[in-house]
Amino acid sequence: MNETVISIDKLCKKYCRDLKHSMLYGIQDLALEIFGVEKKNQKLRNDEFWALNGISIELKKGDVLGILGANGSGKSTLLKLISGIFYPDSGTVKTQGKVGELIEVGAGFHPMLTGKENIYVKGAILGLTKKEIDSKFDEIVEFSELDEFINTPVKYYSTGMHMRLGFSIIAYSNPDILLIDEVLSVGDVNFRAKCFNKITDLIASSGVVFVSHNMADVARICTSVMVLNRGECKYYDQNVLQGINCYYEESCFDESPSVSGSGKAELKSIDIRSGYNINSMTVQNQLDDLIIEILFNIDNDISRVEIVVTIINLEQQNIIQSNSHFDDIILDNDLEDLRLMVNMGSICLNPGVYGITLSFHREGRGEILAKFSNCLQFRIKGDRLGHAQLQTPAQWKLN
Amino acid sequence: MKNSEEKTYTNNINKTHGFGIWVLMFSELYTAKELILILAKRNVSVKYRQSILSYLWIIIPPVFAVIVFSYLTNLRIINVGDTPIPYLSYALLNISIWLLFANILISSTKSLVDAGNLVTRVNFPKVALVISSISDALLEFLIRLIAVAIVFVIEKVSFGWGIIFTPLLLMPLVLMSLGLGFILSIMNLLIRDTLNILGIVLTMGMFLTPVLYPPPTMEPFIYINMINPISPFLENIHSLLITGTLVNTPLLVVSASLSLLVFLVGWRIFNISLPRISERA
Repeated sequence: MNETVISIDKLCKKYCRDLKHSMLYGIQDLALEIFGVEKKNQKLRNDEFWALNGISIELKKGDVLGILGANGSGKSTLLKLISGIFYPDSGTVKTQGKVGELIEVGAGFHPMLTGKENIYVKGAILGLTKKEIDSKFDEIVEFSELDEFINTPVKYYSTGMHMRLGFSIIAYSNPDILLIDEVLSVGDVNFRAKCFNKITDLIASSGVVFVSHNMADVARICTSVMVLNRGECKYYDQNVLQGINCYYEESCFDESPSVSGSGKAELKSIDIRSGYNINSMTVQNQLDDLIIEILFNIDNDISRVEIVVTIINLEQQNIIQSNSHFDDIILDNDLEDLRLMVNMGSICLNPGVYGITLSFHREGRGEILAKFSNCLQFRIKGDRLGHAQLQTPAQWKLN
Repeated sequence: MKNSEEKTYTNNINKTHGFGIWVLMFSELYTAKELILILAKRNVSVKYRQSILSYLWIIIPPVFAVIVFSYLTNLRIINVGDTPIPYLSYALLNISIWLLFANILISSTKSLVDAGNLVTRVNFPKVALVISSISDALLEFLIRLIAVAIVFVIEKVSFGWGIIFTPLLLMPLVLMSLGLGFILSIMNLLIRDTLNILGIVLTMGMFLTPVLYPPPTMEPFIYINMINPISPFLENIHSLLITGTLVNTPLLVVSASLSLLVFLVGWRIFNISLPRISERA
């Protein structure tokens, strides 16, 4: 089953920023096309830009290609070109077999029709015959878990129910190519897991293009990764983790530090003593002890403070935390400026960019005096790169 | 195996096929037949789900219009001249045929915009959207025919065997409106004024066409009627019904060929332009 299902060669697509120009160009192009004039001039006209520029892709059955990129980098456009909704401006797109689109799965549902009627209409739109839908109907309803509501008009469905019905129909339409664009974010935890399992089943019999901002999902199912930036391909390889890293580097994470709390604490400086500077970014070697030096000042009416240091990733998720309260450290506020060294021990984070959040509390896990979110960024450098966030060195012994 | 269909998309996709594009278009239409039927059924079944008088709404407006018009005629406020059959029957039959034409135009023009994000989110034979949209108009026409038949019986209008051939005259009319609808649906996707303009044009068209009055016999109006592609169908449906013969055959042949041409050209333009327009709509 190693047949190629998608092959894209030097694909280019231009878009227009301005509505009026866009319509004008559209009419111009159309007139040329209707009268059969060959278009050779591929220069950008006023207000136009490349939404995709020189993209080439080969995808076989069983492959899962993850497409990463910031908003507006051309991911969804690429999917539309693969499914043949839009035509390229130059280059070719070849697809082999039926394309299933998990993009806005609720598209085409009529609000007045019941779930059952909508299954038949949507099925027909996806190219299934009535017989095929008949034979799959029970499975679709069972998978969507909507048997109670299948005779209810879809307009009474919740967003999640909409998505469940839409996903189920497409999942059972036997696509050879499956295009997935951020659809799984709506369902509840159970259904998400169920969808993921279903997609894993489908991968065996189809080629998948997966667009997501959820790097954990990408790392879990993709066999190759492409990173897009403003329509250009920045990375395209089998090494998924390297690709995810590349995406993180492309998307500049200059979330400026934010301060919250009652303002009774002031952060004078923060520095990573164990790291070194490259291009004004502190770099810390993987597995080295992470030592942070903080200089701060607390209001005089507070006698004792507790400090929490949190390491966050680019997704703003908290990953590692050290809390002075748990380490039974008493920090007396008896000096004008306090200088503190925190050794968080060996850091086995995946290579990449991380941030530090500092918060000062009143004694006994009390009121937040000040919280400095993402007040310092640093990069972890090393070779241990894996699917999990932490790569712990272990003792291995054969018995 | 049906699933192993290969598709290639390039910029000059329409040039690479040459005349074979027509074979592709007809085969696409053939595979879409089930989809067209399902969508057509959906349109009809959805339309009257939230109304009490439901299908009565199909008959009420034209009957009302004809009653007002015949009242005005009786009062001699408007003089329509002699109609070949009693006025009420004449006007009601004509208005049903005109509404078939007008409603197909309106619903096909709206079809793509009504389908919403389906057009830009899923790839499927989009001709199905336009063709299936005429189901409403067809069903309404059939229901109005019942009303027409009742009036015919009341006014004791006799008709001959020519009635079996009248559908043959309706077909080119449907093809013409569908062909125009193909183009208008694309235009409406690009410029939403299309539907409003169409409404005005249709209202004017109805008064320029012998719908509520008999075919004109006076000098300037004869020529207007001659270039009106709809009138030959109206006149011939009448004469087929009553006398079983055709009138003005050359004009009818021209109108029928024009209809077929409009349909084919409209369909082709639709196929070429939809992917280009949907990315800008």
